[in-house]
Amino acid sequence: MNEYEGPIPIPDDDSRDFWEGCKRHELIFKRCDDCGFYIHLPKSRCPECWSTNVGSARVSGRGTVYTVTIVSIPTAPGFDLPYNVSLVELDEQPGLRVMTNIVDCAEDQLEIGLRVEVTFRDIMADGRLEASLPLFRPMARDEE
Amino acid sequence: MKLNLGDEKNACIVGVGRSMISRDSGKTATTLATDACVAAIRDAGLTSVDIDGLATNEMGLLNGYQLRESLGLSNVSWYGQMGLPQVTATFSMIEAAMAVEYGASSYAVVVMGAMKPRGNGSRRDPFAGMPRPPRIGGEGQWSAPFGGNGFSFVHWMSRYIWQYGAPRETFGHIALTARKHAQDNERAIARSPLTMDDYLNARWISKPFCLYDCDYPVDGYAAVVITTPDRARHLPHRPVSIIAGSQKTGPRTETMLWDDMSNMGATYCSREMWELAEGTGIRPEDVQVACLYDGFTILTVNWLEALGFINVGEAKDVLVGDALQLGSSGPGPVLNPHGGMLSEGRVHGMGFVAEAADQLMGRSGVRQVPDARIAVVSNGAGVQNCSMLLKALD
Repeated sequence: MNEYEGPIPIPDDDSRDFWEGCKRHELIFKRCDDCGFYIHLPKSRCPECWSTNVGSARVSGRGTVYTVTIVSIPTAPGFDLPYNVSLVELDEQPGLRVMTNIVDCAEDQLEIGLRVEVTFRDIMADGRLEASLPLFRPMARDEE
Repeated sequence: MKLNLGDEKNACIVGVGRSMISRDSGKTATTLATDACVAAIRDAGLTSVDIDGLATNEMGLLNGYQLRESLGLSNVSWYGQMGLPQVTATFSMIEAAMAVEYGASSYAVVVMGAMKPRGNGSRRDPFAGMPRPPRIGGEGQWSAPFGGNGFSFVHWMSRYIWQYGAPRETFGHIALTARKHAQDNERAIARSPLTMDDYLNARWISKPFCLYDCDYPVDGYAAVVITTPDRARHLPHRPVSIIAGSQKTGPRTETMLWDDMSNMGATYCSREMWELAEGTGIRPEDVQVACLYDGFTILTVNWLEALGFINVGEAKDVLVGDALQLGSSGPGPVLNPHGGMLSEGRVHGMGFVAEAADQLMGRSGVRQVPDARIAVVSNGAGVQNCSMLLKALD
């Protein structure tokens, strides 16, 4: 994989657990400790029940491609054209979605409904781990 | 939402104005907006001292105070300056209509438009001058690292095609209809004929978006004057009554994670608009003119279905032949008789308002929709959808 030159996320107080989890190659979402709702984009109060007992929970990293586009003109620096941008819905909760890129997948295989699993791309800067991006790849057939 | 208060109280559009529309005007947003306001105020038979209300919003790159100065308005006592990101013209229209109905303004000007984006970069290196690597916080942290902050609505089109089996020609029909209508609009930026072959062979922007699925960026502004029906009857043009309007968003407005990709938030505000209009007896089949947002062709398809002009998922069966085109003998309203943002140019929502008002005033010349009495205007998508029902007063 080429060196990544695209945008790097700036974590904030709500998103820090997510991005720190990615650095450990764990997909972590905020989750309401009272009603069990996964909260993404992350918030400190549960929008479902208004509880402030919001913790974090690791998910399986398995999901399904919800939509996909093949980008032919650049909308961010550092990407080789064309490239895919996909929304993946995680198995844990309907509507729990992330924007991502599908990797290790031929374009004609990349379609809505494809079963995928998370994989992480480390971004190094000055010899240390700057961030890690949650990407997804087709799930091995015997795991589906 | 704006309630239907009846013909005797609903605010009316009484004047319409536009700036020049061009690829590169060499003018500031404030200058073009001022041109549009002056034209609208003159069109209504009014002068600067009559205007006591002024509405615009951030997406129009305009500041109400600056506009007041450039127009030399001395009597403005009501401002509508929407601070929400990405709200479009109809939001400001609804605000101003309510201000007039409440009595907070006697004659309000609403102005909106857009400037063609101008970055520091060139076509070869569009991100020139940007620090590398760029670091992005806020909502952008969830999309930019995946190169996905550009064409968010394309995800709706992918999902719609998957869900309903729509062919590309369905979306091509929206683009061809806009271009066909623009040929009779001397202001339109794109008037050359467009065929389905042109559409199907156009270069990809972000598959399934091709070039002609995307609106045409221009510098351009439009404005209207709104007042009470009592005052409207003493002015030069047939008053256009603003019956009802809705800005309902539905759930989840966050960047690109919307729940209802196949039935965008338009579903919620369309439903509310028709509920608000229930007392009028007006139904979708009574609408002659549909000025529906076409920033991307998928959005127009979604509006047509959300507003009840086409059953959900059936656009592929309906959008064929000359459907929704001026002169068609088929059912349904005429869609965007000015060519929409796809062909007239991206005047960010206000172009739809201006065209609908002109059509209902009965002064659209060669592209006049016969017997146009009722129009629907819609703007936006996702977080910022908004729709309005308009009627020509007798």
